[in-house]
Amino acid sequence: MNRRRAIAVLALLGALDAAYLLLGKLGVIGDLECSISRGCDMVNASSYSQFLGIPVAGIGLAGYLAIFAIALIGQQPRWVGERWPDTLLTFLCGIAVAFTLYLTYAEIIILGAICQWCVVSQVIILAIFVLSVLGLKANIIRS
Amino acid sequence: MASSQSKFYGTLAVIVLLGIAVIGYVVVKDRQQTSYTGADSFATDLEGELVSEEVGVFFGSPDAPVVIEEYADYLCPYCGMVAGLTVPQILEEYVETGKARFIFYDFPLHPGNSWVGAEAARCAGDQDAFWPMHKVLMGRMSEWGQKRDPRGLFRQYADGLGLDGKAIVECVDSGRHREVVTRSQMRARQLGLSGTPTFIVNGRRVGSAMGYDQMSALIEEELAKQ
Repeated sequence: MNRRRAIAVLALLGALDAAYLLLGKLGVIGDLECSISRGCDMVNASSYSQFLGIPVAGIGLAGYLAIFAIALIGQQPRWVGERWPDTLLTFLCGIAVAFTLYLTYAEIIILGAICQWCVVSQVIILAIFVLSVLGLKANIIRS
Repeated sequence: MASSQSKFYGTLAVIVLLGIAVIGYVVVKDRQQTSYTGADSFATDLEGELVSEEVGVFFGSPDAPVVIEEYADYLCPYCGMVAGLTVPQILEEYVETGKARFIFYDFPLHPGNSWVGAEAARCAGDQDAFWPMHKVLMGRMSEWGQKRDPRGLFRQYADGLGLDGKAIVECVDSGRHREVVTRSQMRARQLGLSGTPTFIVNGRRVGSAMGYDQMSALIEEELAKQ
């Protein structure tokens, strides 16, 4: 599986994770399953679960879907050799990683609680970012 | 190449289907489960002496000529209505002016969040903020009431009020006020109450959600007797 396909798969998993967190935030499902970390609702109900009035999980879902779409388009035969998908993915994921670091800080240092589903998202976005950077680097070397 | 593409799309489809199945299962399972039952014990011993009024939350002068008692459940919509409209006006017009004394009694009608909400308000009382927390909990019952574990929201509300939210969650977990809530509920049941909110003004029982005008007329009537 090439890098862009791997990114698409990871983005899809991230989107499902974010969708679950968003459903919890919107009250569609009662409580988040949190048997490992026991801090999911504490985090998801905190003021850090919203950014400019928008649920952070919703922003995450939109971000993952955008990454998924770019990765999917980028692995099509006509665009597979192009550099722009890697550039765009690296740029988007860079912002996402910076945002994730801020949320991780709020989660651990300010709230003192850990949400396992947020950790899953943090790992996924970091993995996507690494793959994007590697893809961009390989593309630059090739050209 | 085509086969590889098909495999890839097949993998994506499997992930989507599995994801939807898992989330769907969680939603269904959650709806079947009961609420968080931090305190679900109901007092059943109704015999003996009436539980002391000490279990209530007082507001106003002990020498006030009129005593208004309210028995309410944190998950009763009418209680939420009176907590937001009638009670604040009564407190301002009659209690703060020394004409009446207000006593709030917990009367949780259902196991689960009714109890936990009552305990959270009492825990806020430990930080001298019973009434602000009471008002927030009553006003936002539709939000926290459906949660299996509403403690995260309690913490958020408390932090929003400038309180120590973590301490409130710890207080709820410790069950520090469970006994007083239980005794308060027992008092309501000893009095034969069955619904919420119920007001008792100088011993006269008035049920249902009363508007300010009705309540005010009743208090004026009692004041005129003095």
